[in-house]
Amino acid sequence: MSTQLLHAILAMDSYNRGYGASVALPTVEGETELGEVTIYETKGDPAAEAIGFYAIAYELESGQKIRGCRS
Amino acid sequence: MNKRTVLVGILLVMGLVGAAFAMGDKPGEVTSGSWRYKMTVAVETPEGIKTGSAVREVHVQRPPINMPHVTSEVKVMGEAVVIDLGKRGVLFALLKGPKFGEDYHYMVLYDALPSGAGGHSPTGIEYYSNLKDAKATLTFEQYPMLVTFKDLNDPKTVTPALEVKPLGSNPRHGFKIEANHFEELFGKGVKLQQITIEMTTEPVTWGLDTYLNWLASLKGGYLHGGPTSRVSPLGLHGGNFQRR
Repeated sequence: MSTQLLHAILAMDSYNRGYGASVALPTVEGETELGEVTIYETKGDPAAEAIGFYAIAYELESGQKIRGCRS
Repeated sequence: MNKRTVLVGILLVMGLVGAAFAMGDKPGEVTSGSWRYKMTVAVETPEGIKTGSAVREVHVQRPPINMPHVTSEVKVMGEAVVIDLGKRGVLFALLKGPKFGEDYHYMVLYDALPSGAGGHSPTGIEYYSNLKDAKATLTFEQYPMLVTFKDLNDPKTVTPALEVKPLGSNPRHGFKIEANHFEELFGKGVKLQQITIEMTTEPVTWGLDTYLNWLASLKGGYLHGGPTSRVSPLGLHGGNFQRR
């Protein structure tokens, strides 16, 4: 899978996590996996929600982190 | 850029905005509504049935225009259900659940008492605003997260009492009870009897702070005090316990 495609999939995935998710997918930090990618951490507590912010970080098998956010 | 190009651009933007408004709710359709529901949790113990309940209020405001990613604004007020089992401990039924995650506190009602339309559609808002005397017993897939604390004074000691997990990565494939810790945590003969949800006009209930004295100081933040869910026990934050 190309890096661009992976990034596109993760960008779409972020809309299915946390509050206001399009499709509420279960999210357990350090546990939930998308293929070889693991969800590392999220930011979606009431303080973030109050300003319409949600962030998520994914960890690749190599240890590299990819962060995404939606608002 | 000449004046004509600028004018065409302005007209185009005005046209798009006008079209978006035109696609919004029709005149006379319901655009906002409020309702309350009561969740009651019953637990069997050797001393008899112990119950706890909480009343929560949901307010929904539809967006003024229909555009992708412009969604209804939802505000929920209320708390986790507290089931005080005396010397055995205290069980908490949270505002979060395996099936709807962070949106459990309002989505569970749409799932347990379906309107036949989207919960936030004009029809759905009208339905729940006027729904009375409706009650349902939740299936285990619809259960909230059920937790307890090994030390009520320490949020980091939160422990799951019942673990419901999806069958695979897609929740549409169903759920399973992965582990039931009731007897291990509360003693022999203690088990969950049922969880019900019903529409009510009773006032919203408060009182969780008397059990969890650290909750107010957390201000909705993660239980371990960090800025993100990383290392927060069970990924929980204060908003999973209480919303004002």
